[in-house]
Amino acid sequence: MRTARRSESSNTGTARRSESSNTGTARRSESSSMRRRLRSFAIEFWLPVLIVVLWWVGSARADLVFYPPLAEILGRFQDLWLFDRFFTDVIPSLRNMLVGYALSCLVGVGLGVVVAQVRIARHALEPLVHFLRSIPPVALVPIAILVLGFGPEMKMTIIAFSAVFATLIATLDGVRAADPVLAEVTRVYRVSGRDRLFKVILPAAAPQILSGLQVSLQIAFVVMITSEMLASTEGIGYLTILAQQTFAITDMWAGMLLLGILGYLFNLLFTLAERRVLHWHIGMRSQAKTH
Amino acid sequence: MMTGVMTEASIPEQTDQRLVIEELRKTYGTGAAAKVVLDGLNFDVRSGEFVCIVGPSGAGKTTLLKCLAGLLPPTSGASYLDGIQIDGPPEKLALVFQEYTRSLMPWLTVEKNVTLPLSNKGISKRERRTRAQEALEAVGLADVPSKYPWQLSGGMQQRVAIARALAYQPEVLMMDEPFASVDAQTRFELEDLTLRVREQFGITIVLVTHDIDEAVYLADRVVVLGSAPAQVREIIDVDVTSPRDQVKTKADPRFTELRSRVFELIRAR
Amino acid sequence: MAITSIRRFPATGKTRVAGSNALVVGAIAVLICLAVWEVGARGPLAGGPFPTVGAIAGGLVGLVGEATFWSSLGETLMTALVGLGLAVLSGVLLGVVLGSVDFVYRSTRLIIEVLKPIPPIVVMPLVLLLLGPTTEMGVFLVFYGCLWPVLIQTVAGVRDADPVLLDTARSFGFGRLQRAVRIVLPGAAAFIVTGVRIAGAAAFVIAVVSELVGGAPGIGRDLFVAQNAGLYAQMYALVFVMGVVGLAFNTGLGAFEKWMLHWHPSVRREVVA
Repeated sequence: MRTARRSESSNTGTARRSESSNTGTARRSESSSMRRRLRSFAIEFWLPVLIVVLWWVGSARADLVFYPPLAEILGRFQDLWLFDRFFTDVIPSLRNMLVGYALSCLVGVGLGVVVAQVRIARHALEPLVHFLRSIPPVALVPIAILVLGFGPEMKMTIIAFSAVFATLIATLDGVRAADPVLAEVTRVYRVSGRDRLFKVILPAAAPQILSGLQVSLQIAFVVMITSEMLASTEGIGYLTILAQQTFAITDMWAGMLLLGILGYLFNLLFTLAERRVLHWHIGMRSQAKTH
Repeated sequence: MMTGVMTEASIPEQTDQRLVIEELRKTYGTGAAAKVVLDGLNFDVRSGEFVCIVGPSGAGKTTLLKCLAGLLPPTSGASYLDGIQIDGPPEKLALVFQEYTRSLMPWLTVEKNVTLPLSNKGISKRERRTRAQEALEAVGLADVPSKYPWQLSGGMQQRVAIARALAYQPEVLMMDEPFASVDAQTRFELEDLTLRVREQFGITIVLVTHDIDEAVYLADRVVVLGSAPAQVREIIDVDVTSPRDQVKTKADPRFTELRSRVFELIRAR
Repeated sequence: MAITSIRRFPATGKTRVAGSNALVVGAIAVLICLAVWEVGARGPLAGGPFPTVGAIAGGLVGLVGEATFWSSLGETLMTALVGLGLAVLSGVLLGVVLGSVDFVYRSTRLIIEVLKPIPPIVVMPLVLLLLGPTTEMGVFLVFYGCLWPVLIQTVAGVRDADPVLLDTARSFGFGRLQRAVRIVLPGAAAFIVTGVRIAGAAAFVIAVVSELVGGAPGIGRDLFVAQNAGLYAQMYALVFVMGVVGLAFNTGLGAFEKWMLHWHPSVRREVVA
């Protein structure tokens, strides 16, 4: 919310600047706003930069077993993940995760939309779904290993199965919470079939569906790592935990670094996509706030 | 195919009557908790006519309109549109809802909101856009097709809702307290807009309101409902000169007379 | 001609009957699932990794009778609750500081932004290296995972504080600490409660992760042991127990949030008055 408001104000700022860019006062205000921007940039970045520098220098000097030099970690990162292990481990991990997640999205949203319309199906499904959601997703991994073995199919399946419930429940709630007036509008104007689904039902539930999808994404990521740590001979999670167990400390750090970057990137991409899909919702909310 | 409805004795042969409401009853709940909302209503609406249904708050006006629009099944009795019993939203009917903020899709632009009901009508994309443009022009909103509803004022949003109804090209337009939540000035503008639109498109309009002035000002006939359970108190012919004018019509002694008459009818126990 | 315009009203009567019997329908669905499982476990999937419902129930009864199970469960709950408690405590304290001092907030914003979406399992290898497969390791992971939601919600709540109220307090000569305790914290309570609810739901899950993958003592580790030992009935019974505990956790947290938020506006009004 806060970041949205921030970017909005900076947008109006640039608009105002471009409008009056011909006059001399504008040039002066431009330079002062440049200075302001530099200042705010400095405030946002000084601490992260300082931490990285301290880590770099500190780890290079000290002779700590568990904290190898950052330069070495980055070197291993490059060798391992960008070259040696890219096709054998990074790609399989990402493929399992994305296939599993895509499945959970499709099934969660699809089933949610259908079940939300049929009252008896909803009542039948809700207790089961709520119970299954309450089981820690990673606890299903041992069962999946037993039933499906150690292959990539097991991983995709367990990722999809663990992640589906958050989306399913959010979709159910979102579709049901939609304004009944909209349902009447669609009936009076005989909007049906694909239009009803894609232009009314799904957009109306989109805010909830997307927050469900975000939780599912986090679960999918954690379950991907867990399934590799518990049962695998390949993948980023497997190599990282193996490095830890064999005291290959630098490799372990490189693995943690990659997983951290992936976790951050997945979330970032999702947030960007969400902002695009829900631009109307964000605009409406900021409108309501200013009035 | 044409079920028995058409030949039923109670339906008159001539087609002058667009909408016929017969012994319409609606109760909510069952048994001891049952609440009668509509208690055997009878009236009709002629082709091209502007009928206002006026009644005190909580008289079941919205319930009545929802029954007429095919959104709610009546408990007993029936209503007929052109001789065919209404048991679901008829194709030739459009409805303007009271809650303009809730009846427009906030994720669709103004134009997309207006064209949404048209995609199932089997008309080309270009035709749809032209219709939307014409409808938006008719309500004085030709310049905002790519805005979102929430970027517009309340009055403008209700204009969009009216444009959506017009683009649908209905033969009967129903309006449920359409101007109840806009300010007075906008309200007068929208009332005149509705009268203009009716001239321009020649549609039959049924409008529900609790505002007596509005009912008498707009209508050819006013159906006065009593408080719940609602019955038709009286149907009044509004013999005030047309075209109507916010200043002249409301200063007309006949207007004042009719207004007092409706007021007394509503107040009577 | 206009026949196409006729559409039947939806059959509201039938669905309403089902609505009053939601629980019965849900129970029947559960029973059907159990029956399908039972038939599968006896028939086509017999001998596979699917024990019968009776066997799982037996495993559950066996577990409940064992003292080690209860100490494991206690261990897991302890890990979750202690980690959560530490996270709430430090999250709120840190959040108030970050939320009220703009410079600190903006200096740390990026770091929080980057660390927040990184799940605890990512840092587990290092924590495991430092602390070994111990309860402390589990507590730390729970703490790490729960810190972000509490911290972020607190910061949002503090920054949402009513500036008029703060000015009023300042004019009455309230000091910084007094303002924080009397005005900012009550105002941010709703945000913080939501943060605690989110964190709480994660706490139990993270505790199980730390046990199952990291080997910390608790029912998560028991699950790992049961799977490796081929004690399938016991394994399913443990997963069932986790579902029940998770459900209780979520329900309890939901009720806590509802109660707190119900209570909150009245507090707010008192402060305003």
